[in-house]
Amino acid sequence: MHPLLKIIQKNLKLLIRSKSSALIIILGPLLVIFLAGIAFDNLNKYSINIGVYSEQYSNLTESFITKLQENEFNVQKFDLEEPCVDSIKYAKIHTCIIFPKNMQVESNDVNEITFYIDNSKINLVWMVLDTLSSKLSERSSELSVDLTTNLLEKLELTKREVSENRPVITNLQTENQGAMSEISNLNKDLVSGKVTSLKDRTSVFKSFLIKQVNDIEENLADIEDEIDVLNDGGADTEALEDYVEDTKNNIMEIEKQIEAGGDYLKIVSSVIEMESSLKSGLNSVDSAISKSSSKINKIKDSFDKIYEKVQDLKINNAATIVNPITTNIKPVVPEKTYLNYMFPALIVLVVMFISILLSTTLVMMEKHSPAYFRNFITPTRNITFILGTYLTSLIIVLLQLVIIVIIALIFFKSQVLLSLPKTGLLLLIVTSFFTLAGMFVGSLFTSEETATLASISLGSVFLFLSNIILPIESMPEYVRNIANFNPFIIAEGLLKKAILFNSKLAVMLNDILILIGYSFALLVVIWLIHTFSRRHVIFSLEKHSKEKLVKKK
Amino acid sequence: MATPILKFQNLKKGFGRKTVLDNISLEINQGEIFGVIGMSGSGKTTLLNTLIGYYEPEKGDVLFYSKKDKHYKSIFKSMLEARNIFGFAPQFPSFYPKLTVMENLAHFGSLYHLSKETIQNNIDHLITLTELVDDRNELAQNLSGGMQKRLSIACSLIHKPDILILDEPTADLDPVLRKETWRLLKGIHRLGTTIIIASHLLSELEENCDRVSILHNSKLVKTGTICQLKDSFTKDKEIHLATSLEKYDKISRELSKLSSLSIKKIQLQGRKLTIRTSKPEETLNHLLKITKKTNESIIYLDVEKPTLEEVFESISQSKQKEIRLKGG
Repeated sequence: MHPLLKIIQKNLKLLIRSKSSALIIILGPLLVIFLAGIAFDNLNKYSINIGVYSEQYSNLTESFITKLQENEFNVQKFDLEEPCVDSIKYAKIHTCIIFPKNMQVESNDVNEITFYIDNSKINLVWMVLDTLSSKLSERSSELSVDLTTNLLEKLELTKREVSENRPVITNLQTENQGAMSEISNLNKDLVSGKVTSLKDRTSVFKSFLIKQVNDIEENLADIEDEIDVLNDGGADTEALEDYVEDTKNNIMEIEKQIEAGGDYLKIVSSVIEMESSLKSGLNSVDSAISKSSSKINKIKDSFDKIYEKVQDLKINNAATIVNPITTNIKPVVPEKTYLNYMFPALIVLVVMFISILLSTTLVMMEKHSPAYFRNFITPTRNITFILGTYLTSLIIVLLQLVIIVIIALIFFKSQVLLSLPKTGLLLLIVTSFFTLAGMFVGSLFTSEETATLASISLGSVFLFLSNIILPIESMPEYVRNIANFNPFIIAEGLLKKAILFNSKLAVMLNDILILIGYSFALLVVIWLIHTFSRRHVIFSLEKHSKEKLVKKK
Repeated sequence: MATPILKFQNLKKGFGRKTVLDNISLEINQGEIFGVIGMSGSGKTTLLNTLIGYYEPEKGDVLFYSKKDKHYKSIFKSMLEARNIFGFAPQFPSFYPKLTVMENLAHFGSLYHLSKETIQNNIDHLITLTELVDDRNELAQNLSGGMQKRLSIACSLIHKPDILILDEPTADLDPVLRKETWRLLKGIHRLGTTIIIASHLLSELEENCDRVSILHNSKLVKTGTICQLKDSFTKDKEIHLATSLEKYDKISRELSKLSSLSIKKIQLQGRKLTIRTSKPEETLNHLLKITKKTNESIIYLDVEKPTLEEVFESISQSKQKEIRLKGG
């Protein structure tokens, strides 16, 4: 049989025969995963006790409390603020909410709600705050929707009124423009001399009439002279005289008529006299109408703008205005229990601690074994022993992982089966790294206690610089930069991608290569330590054995 | 003339400023039982550990005869081959306590790259040789001290080495187990295995070793057969006498008067009187006369060379003196 297989066989036998280590190393992780499975295999939130206090509870405050009670929160009212805060210290409640006195939305006061929290329960704090804030903002949104609805109704009314009154203004504007046009024409007429011409014409007509009348009168006088002459001549002129008399009468009648037309002329004259004053009056009316028209235009413009803007308001739903962007959080994987989300982190955690502790234990077992020296003087190379320890640890951890995956599949309906080959490969790489890390720790120390402490410390460092306790995003930048290279984070990320998102291996290639690089570097370091310190280890262990023997004697 | 299987050539090894092996040159012959004696800290274990390649010397070399290549090779340059010709049983148990006798033997057999059949054959032979047949499936931790010692030796022999090296093999055993262990070693030796053994139990080495080297203050002081060592120490012999009346004062006084007997030492050791002299035959004649005169009957009488222990003590003391004189 190849020495490597014999070494693995021997290691397995030694582990199994060492009852305490077998119990802790083999059964421990299974117990951990089983308990974690039972604990996280649900979708319920935690049972949270909330204390509330307000000097005066308004309907609004009560509505908030009702909202909190609708869910899993146990709400307890306090009579005073202090006992409410103290109850957090005594762990009777998880948070205390102080509502303002008689909280009202109608008033313009800022309604500030105060939370008292216990920061020492760091995980719970964020969860409590997040859940409470979401519940309170839910109610707050409802109120905002009411208020906005009211505002929108009023805006709608305004829109309607503007819409209805726009034609009135348009009419007013049209009429105003008509009046202005009339005045303008009138003014033009005045300016263009229609009245003057009337005046002139009237005057010409009057002069013409007078001249004609005078001409007729002169002609008549001539006729009368002629008649006299004729009379002197003894001619019968009586009929002619009658005719002249009639013509005279007619002329007199015309004169009367001209006299009578004198009133009209007076009116025309007065009109002509009023021309300038009318003109200035028309000018001032025109100016007034022009100003009024400009104001009407402005009003129209404003109305148009208001109308346009109101018309432009595309969102007329209060809920949309209150929450223009609504968030809808959808899981990228089908929603199952917390165990499914936690499974990658949980499995890396278990793998890390088992691998580190197991491989450290195996190295220490070998170092402290009386046969260590004998192994050293055989022709088997160092690397065979290193690989023997590595493979033994790997086999045990992988066996445990198989059992863990089976438990997860059967009892907790985990979705690991979807990406089993990929997950298997990643688990192999992850387990390899942590196994070698444990072997490295084991190689560094000679005392079993120190090595165990160091391996637990190493695991803890990996754990603290990961997302398990605090998100790494909350760490200082330089720590975050280091933490990004934390093998635990890399391993967790890889398993998340494989188990939850079923990502392709190409996407994870970089991280895989980093882990393989780490593992290879560790293997080289372990080999160097083994080669250069093995003699020292044997020497110190031999010395220790001799001292023990002397004491025994 | 016996063929050397190992040659130490001007070997020098130190730890820090302290020199532990200083210019050691030595040859070990094939098929002999070779003993290394020395006080605590004299360098015995370092010598053996250097021999198996555990330590590398600062100077010098250790050569082994390669049966394969038919010439001598440095063990430090042919470590893998050298490891196959050595079997080493350290002072402390060197096996896995939680494995059975068979499992331990099988495990170490595989580390020598032996085939399954060879391992099985060797195991069968070894458990018979070491009388562990009935306990072959017993966990090593459950074996008695003697059995554990035998298992440790069996583990060293699983690959049938040419040379078996043992460091203090009987140091923590009771006399019965010591005898048992030596019986086993003699058996192994009879099979042709060269045995190199370091021990502070000089009487055992005196009794069983073909040749012995004495290490003192990092230096090899003497090497040779037990007789050679004793002869190099003194030509005198010791007469051990025990009488019924134990009137040793009177016997001592009478002997002291006879200056011709060249008596070097008269000392009471337990219930026996030890007389060292270069003329043992004449001294014996006088002793018989004296006891007759004093009416004592002789219960025990023997004549032998001084013990290895005495030789060792004497050499150690003389070397200490030399160092003191050199120091000033």
